Amino acid sequence: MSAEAEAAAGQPALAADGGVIHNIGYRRYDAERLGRWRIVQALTWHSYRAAFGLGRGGKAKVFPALLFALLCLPAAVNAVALATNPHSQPLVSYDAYIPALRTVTVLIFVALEAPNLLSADLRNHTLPLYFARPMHRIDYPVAKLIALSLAVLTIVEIPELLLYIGNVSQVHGAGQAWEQTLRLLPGLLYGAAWAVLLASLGLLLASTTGRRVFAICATGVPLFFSYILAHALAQAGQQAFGPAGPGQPSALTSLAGLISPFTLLGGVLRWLQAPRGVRVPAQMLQATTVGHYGPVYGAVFAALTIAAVGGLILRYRKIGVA
Amino acid sequence: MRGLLNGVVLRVTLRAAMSRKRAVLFALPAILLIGVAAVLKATAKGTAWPPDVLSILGYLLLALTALIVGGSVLGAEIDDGSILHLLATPVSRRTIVLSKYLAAVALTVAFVGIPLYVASAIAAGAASKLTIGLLVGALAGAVIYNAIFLMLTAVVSPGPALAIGLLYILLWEGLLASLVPGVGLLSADHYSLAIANSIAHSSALQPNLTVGTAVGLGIVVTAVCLALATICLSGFNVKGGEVA
Repeated sequence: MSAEAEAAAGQPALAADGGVIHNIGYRRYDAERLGRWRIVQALTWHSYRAAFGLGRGGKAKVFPALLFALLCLPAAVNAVALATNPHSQPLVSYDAYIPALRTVTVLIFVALEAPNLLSADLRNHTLPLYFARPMHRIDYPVAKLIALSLAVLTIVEIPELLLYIGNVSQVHGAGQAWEQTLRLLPGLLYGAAWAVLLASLGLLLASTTGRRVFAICATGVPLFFSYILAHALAQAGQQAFGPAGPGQPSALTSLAGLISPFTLLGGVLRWLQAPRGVRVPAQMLQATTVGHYGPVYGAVFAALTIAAVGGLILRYRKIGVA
Repeated sequence: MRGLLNGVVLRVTLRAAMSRKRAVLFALPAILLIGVAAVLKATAKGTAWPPDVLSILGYLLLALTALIVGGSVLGAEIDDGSILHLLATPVSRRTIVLSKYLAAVALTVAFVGIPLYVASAIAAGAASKLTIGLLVGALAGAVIYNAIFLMLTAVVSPGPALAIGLLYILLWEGLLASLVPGVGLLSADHYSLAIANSIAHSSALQPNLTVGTAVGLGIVVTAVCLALATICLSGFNVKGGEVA
C-alpha cells in the first residue's frame, strides 16, 4: 500500500515488530519503525539522564552533582589517608560505607529526583500520549523504576569502586587484592538492595501527586520522619525496657528498625553479617539493632520491595487517561 | 496594637487551612505523640525515656508542621492568585503578614504544641519540669519556624519555598547540626532545645548554645524574617504569565 493510499484510509502503518506510526497527513515516514522494547529502552535512558539533570537546565544539575560529590568524599579521604600512611586500616568499610551520610544523601537524591521523573507527565496529562504508542501500561512505571534504580545504584556504587581502587592501590600482592575484591562484592550487592528498595518506594510516594513540590514533600517527609522515628523508638526501647536478656536488646529496640527503609536495610546487613562473625568496628555499621529478629528484617525487606513495586504498577494501571 | 492585626484575614486564613483535604494530616502528630507516650508509659520498666523520645519526635513534628502550615498560609493564596484580591484591599501589607503569621503560629501550637504537652503530661506528669520545658520550647519553636517558612514563601515563590524548607530541616538541622556543633547557632531546632532545657534541666536535651543566646538569636531571626516577608510582599509583582 502506498503512503497516499494509507493516508486516505486513515490507517496506521503497522511494522512487523509492532511499531506504529499514525499517518495524519503531515509528513511521510519511511524510516525503520522501532517496537515496544525500543520505546521502553529510550524512556529508561531518558529518565536515567534526567535523574542527574542531564538534558535539563543548569539548576537541575546542581543537587545531583553535589550529592554525588558528598558521597564520594569519604572514599577520597580514605585513599589519601592510606596513601600517606600505608600501614593503617581502611577508614571506611565496603558494606555500610558511612551510614548517616549515605542515608541523608540518598534520601535527598530520591526525594528530589523521583518527582522529577514522574510529576511533569502527571501534571501535563502526557500519559495518554505514551500509551497511544505500542507501549503497554506496565512499561512506563517499569522503565521509570529501572532508571531511578540505576541512578541510585550509580551514586551509591561509584564511591564503593573508588574506595576499592584506593584500597587496592595500597596493598601488596595478588592475594590481598583478591581479599579486597571479595569484600567489595557484598558491598556492591548491598548497594543494589538500597537502589531497588528506595527507588521503588520513592517513585510510589512521588506518584501520589502531579505537583512537583508537593511530590518532593510527599517523598521526603515520610522517608525522613520514619528514619527519625525508628531511631527514637530504638533509643526509647533501650531506656524503657533495658536488655531482654544477656546480650539481647529489648523487643522494641530490635523491631524499631523495621519502621524506616534505611534502618531496615541496616538491619538486613546486620542479619546477614552476623553468622559469618565478621568483626566490623561499631561506628561503621548501620545503627540498627536487630537482636534475634534478623530473619524478620529479611522478610520485611522482601515484602516491602514487592509491595512498593506492585503498588507503583497498580497506580499506573489506573492513572492518567482523563 | 490596633491596626497590626486584622480579624477578617486571621479568620479567613484559619478557615482556609482547616478546610483543605490535607488538614486530616494535621491530626497525625497528635495521634503519634500521645500514642507513643501512652504505650511506653503503660509498658515501660525504666523512667529515662521521656526527654529523649519526646524532644526528638516532638520538635521534628513541630518543624514539619510549621513547614506545611507556615508555607501555606501565604503560599496557598499566592499560588491560586487570590492574594491579589487581598492586596487590593486597604489593609497594609504588614497587617496581612502579621495576621497570617499569627494564624500559622496558633495552628502549629494547636496541632503539635498541645499534643506534645499532653504526651509529656502522660509520660512525666502535667506539672513536671520536663513537660513545662517542652511546652515552652515548642511555643518558641512555633514562633521561629513559622516566621522562617512564611518569609520563604514571600521571598521565593511558594513551590521552591517548600523544597528549600524541607532541605533546611533535612540537611542543616538533620545532618549538619549533629556533625558540626557550630551549626546549632543558626538552627531553630537548637533554639527550641535550649529554651526547653533552661526549664527542664535534662541531660537528654543537648542544645549547642546557651539559653540567652537562643532567645536573643530567636528574636532576631523572627523579626528579620517577618520584616523581609513584609518588604517582599510590598513589592509583590503580578506576573503576566499567571493570567495568560
